[in-house]
Amino acid sequence: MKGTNIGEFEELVLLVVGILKGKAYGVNVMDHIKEESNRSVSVSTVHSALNRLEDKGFVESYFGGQSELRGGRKKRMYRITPYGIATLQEARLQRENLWSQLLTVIPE
Amino acid sequence: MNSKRIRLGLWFIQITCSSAFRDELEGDLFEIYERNCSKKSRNVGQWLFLWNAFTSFRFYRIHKFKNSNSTNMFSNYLLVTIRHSRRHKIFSFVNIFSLVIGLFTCFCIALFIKGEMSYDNFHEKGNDLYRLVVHDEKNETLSAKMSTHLSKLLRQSFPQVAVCSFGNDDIRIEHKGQSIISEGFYWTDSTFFDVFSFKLINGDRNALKDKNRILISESLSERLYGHTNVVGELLPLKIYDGDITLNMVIGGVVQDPPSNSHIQFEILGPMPKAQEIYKDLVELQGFYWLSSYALIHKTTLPLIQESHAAEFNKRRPENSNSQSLYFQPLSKAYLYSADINGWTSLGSITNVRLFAAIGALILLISIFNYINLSTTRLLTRKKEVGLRKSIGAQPLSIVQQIMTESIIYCLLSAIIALGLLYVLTPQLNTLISLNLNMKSVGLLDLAFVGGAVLAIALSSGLYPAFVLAKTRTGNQPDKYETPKGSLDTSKILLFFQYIATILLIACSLIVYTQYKYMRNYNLGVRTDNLVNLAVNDKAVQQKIPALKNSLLAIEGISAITATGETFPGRMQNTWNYSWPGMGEKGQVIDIVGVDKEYFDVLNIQFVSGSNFTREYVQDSAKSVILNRAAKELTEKNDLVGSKVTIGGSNREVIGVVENYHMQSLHHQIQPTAYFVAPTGARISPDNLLIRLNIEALSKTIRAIENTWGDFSSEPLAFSFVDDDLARQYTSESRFMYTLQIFTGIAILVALTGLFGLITFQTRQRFKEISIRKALGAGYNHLLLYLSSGFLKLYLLASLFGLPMAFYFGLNWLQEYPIRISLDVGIFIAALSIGLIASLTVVISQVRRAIRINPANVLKE
Repeated sequence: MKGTNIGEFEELVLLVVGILKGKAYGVNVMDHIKEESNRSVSVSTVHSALNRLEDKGFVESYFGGQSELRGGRKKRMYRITPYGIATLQEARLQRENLWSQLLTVIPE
Repeated sequence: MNSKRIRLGLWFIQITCSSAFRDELEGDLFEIYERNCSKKSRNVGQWLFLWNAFTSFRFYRIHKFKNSNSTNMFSNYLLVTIRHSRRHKIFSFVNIFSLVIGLFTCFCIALFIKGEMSYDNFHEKGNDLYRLVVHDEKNETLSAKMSTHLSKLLRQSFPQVAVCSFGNDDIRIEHKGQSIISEGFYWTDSTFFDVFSFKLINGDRNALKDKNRILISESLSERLYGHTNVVGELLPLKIYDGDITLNMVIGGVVQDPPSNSHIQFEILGPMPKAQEIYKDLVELQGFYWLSSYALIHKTTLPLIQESHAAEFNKRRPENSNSQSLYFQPLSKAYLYSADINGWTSLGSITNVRLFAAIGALILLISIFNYINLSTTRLLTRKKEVGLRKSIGAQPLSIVQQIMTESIIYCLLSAIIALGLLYVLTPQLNTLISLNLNMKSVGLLDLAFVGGAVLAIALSSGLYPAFVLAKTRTGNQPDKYETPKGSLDTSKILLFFQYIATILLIACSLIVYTQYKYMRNYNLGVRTDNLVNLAVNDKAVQQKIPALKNSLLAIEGISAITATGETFPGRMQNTWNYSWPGMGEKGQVIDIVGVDKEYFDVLNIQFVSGSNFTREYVQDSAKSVILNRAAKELTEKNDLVGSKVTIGGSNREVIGVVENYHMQSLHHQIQPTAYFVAPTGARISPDNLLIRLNIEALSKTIRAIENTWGDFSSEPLAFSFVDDDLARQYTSESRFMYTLQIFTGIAILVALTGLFGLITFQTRQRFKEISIRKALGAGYNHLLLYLSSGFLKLYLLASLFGLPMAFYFGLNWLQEYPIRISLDVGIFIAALSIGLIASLTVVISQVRRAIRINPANVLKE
């Protein structure tokens, strides 16, 4: 098993996969990231992030149906695992904890 | 629908992307493509598809090796090898160590041989170059030197052949007030650059056509001027034998001859000038001083050997009709000239062969080690092999596994050995002066080494592989059962190792004894504190009597004698020798000019008669002293008082002295005649032998320098006779040290093998030893019981090894006129050295085995 730490871009992708509710695959994850964060990423960058997340056990993949639009190729769909959700929550808690500490230091 | 760009993109994905990811990637790319087509244009979409396809390359998506059976098995072999070598650290170490040493020695020797074989291979026309050797059929001698007369005749007889001759001369360079003696001065022909491929750095190729121009080497130019831009500079040369100083112009600078050239020079002078200076000398038919080389095309060689040789024979002078020419290929001049006179620095093909044999022997010992150790070790792995077999391994795959291991070990050892060689070359060169040069190693050599190592790996892995592959393990895979015959094989290999080791020990002992014998041999003269002072300048030679008297006044000098030959040195002059009542056969005798003090200073005993006296000095032309060898030639009881004829004049023999050695013991004592010669004669003294008092040595030498300065402007050239004598044995001492080192290595390797084998065998017999102990076997009994097998084998091997050493030793000693007799003592010593060494190993291991507590072993 690989390390359980999660990178910034990976966290972003993981969040998007969660938002897309089991309908996530390469292209729509890419589109969503572009919409939400205005970051232009290539589909292969998304693929490798998804691949790493799957290795770490945060998402799981399954094959969706073929379509003429995709040149007859199958879709690989991703959904977030409970472990993935727990990791996201943990990351958020960590942030909030740090934020609350920071707020006591800087005047609002 | 798919355009070329799409297909190219798909093709790229196909070759770089594993099938597990392909659908996902291609599908997503198509989706983006369709979107781009509708948003922009089909053309742009296709270009973007191709771009995306190429940039989609990711390492994690690369085709993984298909996990085929064979790659899986290979990685398993690798893993098992590593685990095993870790578990059995001693054996792995011993295995690799002995292989490394064996390979290292082999590489060293191969490098040495490569260097020796590469001599003179840099000449572009090398295949057509020949050295001219004069074969004297009457005396059965070959000589690399010829007379000017002969060389002229050659040019007349073979007009279409380019001939280049070299004549060495003693000179001194007078440069900016400094006197520099150069040993590398040769008179040579203007054909020099046509025949050889030495490179001219700057100047004129035809400089030697001019009587007043010379060529100098790059390093000499650097030494004299600090640069090579010296064409046109004036260089005064003092020619000793011509007693003349020449103002020569530098006509060109030549690149230094490569170290693997047997022709080495510093200055080249024009041959016509030499003929001018030595007008009378070069006309002498007996004055052999030129080494000649010829450029002959292969196709014309037979023609030249037949027709032109006949022409040559017709023209040659009457008295040399027993001489013929022999064309020695230049590539053989360095290694194959042991029987040719007149050439000093030479390699020897005997040495090359000898080292090749030693290298092969050591390699063989270490390969046997490897076979022995891995076989015995693999026998403990029967459980593993049995398991492999029971789950379906074929014998072939067992062979494959063991071969893989063998290759890994051998390659590892070869890499370590090469690394060691690379690091240790400078130290090796100073230690045994083999002149190894790593820079000469090319890719081809490395490929050859790789092939050889692979061959060693396969051949040494073959036996253990087949032993294990054939072993039946079916019923009792955990029992350490020795397969039939395998122990015998390991014994046979050990036996050969013993033979090789004993042979090497005995040989190096023989060489050592002979060397010591020669160094301690009584030469028949006193050489302690004796100094040889050469007087090269003809002008000073005239003043030798006065110089002698002035030197005698110095406190630290006890005696002086003037002589015509250096000590140690070769007699340079011979004359015809006859006596009343002798037979038809002509005899020659060495002649040397001495003075009255000569025999006293050197402490040479008179057999009969007496020394020169003052009256005899007056009458020096009439008398002579002979040595015992000259007397014995006449087969007369007493020669004193009778007349002999030397060089055409009758002389009365006034004394006969005991034989003594003027040079190293490689040379036999020749019949010699001693004269008192007037100054200026052919054999007049040009050397002083001075016996010093050992006290205040440096003060005495300073005083000698002062006195010398009053007589001559030359630098003082003196040396201790003892040192010079020792230097004549350099090749022996080098050979001895090298042989000793190799013998040491061979012993080390053989002992490591023995160590591994005995450790392993006693460990296997722990149970047996424990039972014997439990039943009451004593310490001594067990010691004898366990080591007697090895002892018997050793003694048996010595029965083969010692006679072989005797044979080789006898052959080697033939070269030496003064030699030891091969007595039993040497062989007993050799036997005991090997015995003590191997007994130490055996007993140390056996004792450890005997000391074990039986309870611990038998409990299991």
